Amino acid sequence: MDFDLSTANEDSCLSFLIAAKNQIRPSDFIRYLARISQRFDRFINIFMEDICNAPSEELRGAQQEFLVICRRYSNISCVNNNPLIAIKPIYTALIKIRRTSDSLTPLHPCLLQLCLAAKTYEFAHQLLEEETFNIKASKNSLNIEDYLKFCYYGGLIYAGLKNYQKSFLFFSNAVTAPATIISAIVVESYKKFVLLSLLCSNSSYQCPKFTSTVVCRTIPQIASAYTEFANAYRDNSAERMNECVAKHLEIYKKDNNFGLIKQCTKRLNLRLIKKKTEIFLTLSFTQIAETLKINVDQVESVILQMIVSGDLHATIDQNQQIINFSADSRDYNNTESSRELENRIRKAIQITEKMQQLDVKIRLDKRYIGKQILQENTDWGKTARNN
Amino acid sequence: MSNMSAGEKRANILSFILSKEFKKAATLCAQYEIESAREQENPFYGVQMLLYFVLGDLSSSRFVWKRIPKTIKVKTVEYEKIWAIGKALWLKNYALVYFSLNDFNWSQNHSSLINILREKFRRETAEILAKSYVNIKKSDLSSYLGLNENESVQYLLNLGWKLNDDNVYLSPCNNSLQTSSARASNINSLSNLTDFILFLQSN
Repeated sequence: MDFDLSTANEDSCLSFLIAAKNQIRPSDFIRYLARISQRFDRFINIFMEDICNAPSEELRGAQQEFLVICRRYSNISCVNNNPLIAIKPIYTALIKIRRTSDSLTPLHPCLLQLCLAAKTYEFAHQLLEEETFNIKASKNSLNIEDYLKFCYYGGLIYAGLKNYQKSFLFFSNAVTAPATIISAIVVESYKKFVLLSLLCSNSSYQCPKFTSTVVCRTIPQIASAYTEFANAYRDNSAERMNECVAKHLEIYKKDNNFGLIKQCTKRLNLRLIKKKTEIFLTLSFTQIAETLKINVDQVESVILQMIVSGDLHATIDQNQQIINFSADSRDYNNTESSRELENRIRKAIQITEKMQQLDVKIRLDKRYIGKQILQENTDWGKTARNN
Repeated sequence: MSNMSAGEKRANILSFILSKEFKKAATLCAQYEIESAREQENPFYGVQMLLYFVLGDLSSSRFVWKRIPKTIKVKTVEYEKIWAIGKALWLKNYALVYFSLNDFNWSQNHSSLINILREKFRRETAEILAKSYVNIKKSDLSSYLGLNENESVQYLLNLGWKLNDDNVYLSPCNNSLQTSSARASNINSLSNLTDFILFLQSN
């Protein structure tokens, strides 16, 4: 169809699109819409639902343009403050475009961004629970920015749902992604990575060994406000922590991390009590009030909250005004525990099988075999010269 | 996501609530919320929040409250009252929870869920007290259980607690803590074990 985009005005573009929708194949329509929406992006709203109802071969036929339209659509929806409307069409598009149920597509971070803006965390959680093993860049038109955004938004959603362990995992994925230059997404992920490592008690906030050197060397200095706070937390020093917060309050608030900082300060109380459980079997209300620097009347409610959340194993004796610390009395001897164990073993087996498949793929890859041969030749050459 | 009408969705959700399948009802509410965004119908915010309270999922209910548009919040006082329950649950202010549960003349949609929530909360708080306290004063009980002193004592005595001789303190009896610890010794377990052994052998 003949149409001159550069000279057309808004109305003629719109009438062209409406006419074209019923006459040409969906993949061609998508290509036209991608070009026209560069100038007039409000048209995307009108046609989005119809495009997403097209069959998936058509969508894959014009995959690049379709992804461009989807990205623009989610940006517009966020800017215009109605992200909830965009969730259903983008989700339909995602299901149609992805090649296997465990591939990562550029629409994943789009959808997560919309869910964050619309605050539909449960829906995003459903999406994140479907694990994504397949991140082949070429087949899914994925680029590094999409991957980093996916890790960052995924981490934010899990943090919002208070699943700190998984959130930490996502942010560490972003921090350890292979890099040759620093990305703003990685810097923000690192800040949250540090704070979440404090909330997941058995994780360290040092970058893992396989982080790129660029990241390891430069980012901790950029995020020094956070590493200072983390050091104060590790040393159980409430005064240094409060000092840190007072000094860097603006930075924390600007980065939207103040909520996490507050959570960490609350958790410090728990750490102080846990240290005491290693030494004492019972403590009186007054002794606990001294350790936590609170009033004696508050001790009961604070300890009750810790017991309820499962972080502390203790009993309260109101008559004698003491707390008895006990060991973890859970007997892992029931059906629930064995079921949980079986689930975890199954997951481990699944991951091992994926790793084995990946291993076979790499061994059969042309580049790897080439390198192997080169290596063998040089070794061969060395031993031949030595003899 | 299907395209049912509002009435059908409401009927489905209510039937799930009656049969106590709260998780399914909550998922249906969430789906309906996303679908109704385009059609400008109003999803069942109140029921959704109450379902999340019953399931113990306070963060999801907090997000529902944040998502409710300001116009609807102002129009429907009931949603605000429901969220007042949520705030009390969040802050673990036991007395305030019972107060907020009784603070309003609930509409028909919500009253059954409110009653279920009240009973569940009372039972769970009694279990928490049994786990955490060696002995507790009678006079403290009414704030935890939302009943007056005599009724609270009776409620706990029915659960197996014992009243101390000084008639001031109550002690829990530890039988209530044993959950079913039957070992899983059925076919499923055997087939799982054979799968694991096969896997280990093949590597």
